[in-house]
Amino acid sequence: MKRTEAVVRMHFSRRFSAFFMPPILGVGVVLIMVVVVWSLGAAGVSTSSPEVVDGFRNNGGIVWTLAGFLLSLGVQAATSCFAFATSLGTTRRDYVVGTGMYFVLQTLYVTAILATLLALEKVTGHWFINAYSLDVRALGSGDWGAFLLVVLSGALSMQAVGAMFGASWLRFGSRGPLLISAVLVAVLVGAILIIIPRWAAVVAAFSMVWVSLVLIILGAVSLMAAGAFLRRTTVRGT
Amino acid sequence: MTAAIEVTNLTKRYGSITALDDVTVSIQQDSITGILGRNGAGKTVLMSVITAQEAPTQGTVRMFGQSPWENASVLSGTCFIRDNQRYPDEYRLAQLLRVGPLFYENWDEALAERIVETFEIPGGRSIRKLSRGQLSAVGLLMGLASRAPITFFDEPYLGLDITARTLFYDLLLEDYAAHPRTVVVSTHLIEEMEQLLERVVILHHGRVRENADIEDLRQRAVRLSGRTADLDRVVGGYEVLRRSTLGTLSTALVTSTDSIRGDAAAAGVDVEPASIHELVAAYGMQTEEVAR
Amino acid sequence: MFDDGSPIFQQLADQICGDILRGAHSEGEKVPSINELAVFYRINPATANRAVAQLVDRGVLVKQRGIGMFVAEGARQLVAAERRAKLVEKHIAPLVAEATALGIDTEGIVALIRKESS
Repeated sequence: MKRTEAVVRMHFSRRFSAFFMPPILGVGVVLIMVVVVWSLGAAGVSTSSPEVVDGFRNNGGIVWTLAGFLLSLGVQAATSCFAFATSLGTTRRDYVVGTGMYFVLQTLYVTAILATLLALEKVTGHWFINAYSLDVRALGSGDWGAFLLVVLSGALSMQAVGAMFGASWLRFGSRGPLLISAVLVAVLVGAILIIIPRWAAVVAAFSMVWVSLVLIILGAVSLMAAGAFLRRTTVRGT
Repeated sequence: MTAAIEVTNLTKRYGSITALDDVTVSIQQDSITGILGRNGAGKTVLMSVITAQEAPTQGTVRMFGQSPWENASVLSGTCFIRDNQRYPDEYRLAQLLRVGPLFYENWDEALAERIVETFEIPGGRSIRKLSRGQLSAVGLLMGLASRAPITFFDEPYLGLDITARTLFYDLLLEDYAAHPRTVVVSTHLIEEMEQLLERVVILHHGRVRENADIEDLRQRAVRLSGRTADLDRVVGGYEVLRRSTLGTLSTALVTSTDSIRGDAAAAGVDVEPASIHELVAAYGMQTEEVAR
Repeated sequence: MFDDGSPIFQQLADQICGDILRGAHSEGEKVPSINELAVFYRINPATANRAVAQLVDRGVLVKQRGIGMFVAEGARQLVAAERRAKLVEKHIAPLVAEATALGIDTEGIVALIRKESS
């Protein structure tokens, strides 16, 4: 078997993280939302008034939960799996390519899980009690095109960013992640400085296409950085 | 005999520390080679650089004539499990058994199962929670079952008792005899393992002291013993690796030459063959200055 | 089991000769393969190979391509003759040296040998 393919399957062998965590987290977020909305209703708050529903749709629970999980998945892909794959005679290039392929497949799987949940949410009238969990603003307010764009690009970029942090830690020790954080903050500040004077134009042109484009660029740059870090890094034991 | 691995003028530095210093060794194809030396002599670093797990500071590594760096065609034929190998989080025995054949076309599933049973490797626990001995057994499993054309074992016996070690030696010999391949093993247990070895590399302070056939090495040194005055008359013309005196009696470990037996007999000094164990210990006691 | 300081292959060759002398392997009989010897004695196959090659050279074993290794016809006599030649060097000379150091004369040694073999 080709080494890249073997690397993909090495990642997927971590079955609990790869296969079970995404549905557990997705369903978990829905359940929490259901409990919250039900409690509000029980406390006498109207859960169907437009203002309240608008508030529900602003919740980013699913985004933060999945983003955190996928970041950690990316970090681990770069750290513990890299050492083992190289011990089994895998080149760094094959490892990075295989890991990138794994990220793509893992992204498709996460997207399929979330899409299924979104479809169910829509069919059931938001779990019968307006428990907006996936039909939220951050994921395109239930618009399928926007939803797929942002989930695909977001899941991919989070894993790549995680891999970049993990790889920088392998390469430079604790200074690596610190340096990257500093660079990210600088880029963010720069972006804000550029955007603020043009705020009105940005808001007018805002669309999920732009968001996902930014995410894809972030993911691609991260993966290239991860590859560059792993290219010269020293493999060590525990 | 062709060389599977050729290391030429290899130096590896970490900041001001020199881990490998101008190392030149060749590892014969389809032989079992032992890398001997004290802790910190550079044994693990040498294997790590050979397998392209880290880059040399200077010098070259050739594996079947090619550089192994980012070279899948030769690297994919290697297996190097460290004594403190990192395994992916969540991995248990089942994952290792599933992943092994993906990486090695000659992976022997039956052998893997046999090793699991022989060493009683528990399947229910994550690899990270295994005991030192069980972890070593996992390393043996990966190394042996991979049937990799070049397999490295990094002190593979840590935490294993004498029975388990003997089982390992038997398995290694049996499988090596049936499927000859290049095996490199770093070890401190010289007396236990020397009969398994065909070639030996002795490292000291990152430098190569010996790279020889085991039989040549067994004849490399002799132990002289007798009265101090008699001994003094003999050792003058020879390289003394180590010497100790007890009252009027002395012993000396000296590099053997054709004339040593005659000279010793003439002086009334006893000559006994010195073991490789003694030789390695004597090299290991030399200070850095003497080693240069 | 191999620890007298001489090369291991030499010790293995001596061991096999001893087995032939004691009748453990009779003439014309198949002997274990190199790999079997290596695993049994826990030694490197290259070492076992050197021992066997030496025995083939000495005419103690014969190799039949593709079938295996056999004890040569007349091997027992050959080994016995070799051992007899070495008896003086390996056993009698050290015995005489030791006895001389202890002040035992030749008659004394002979008496001791008589007593031991009776």
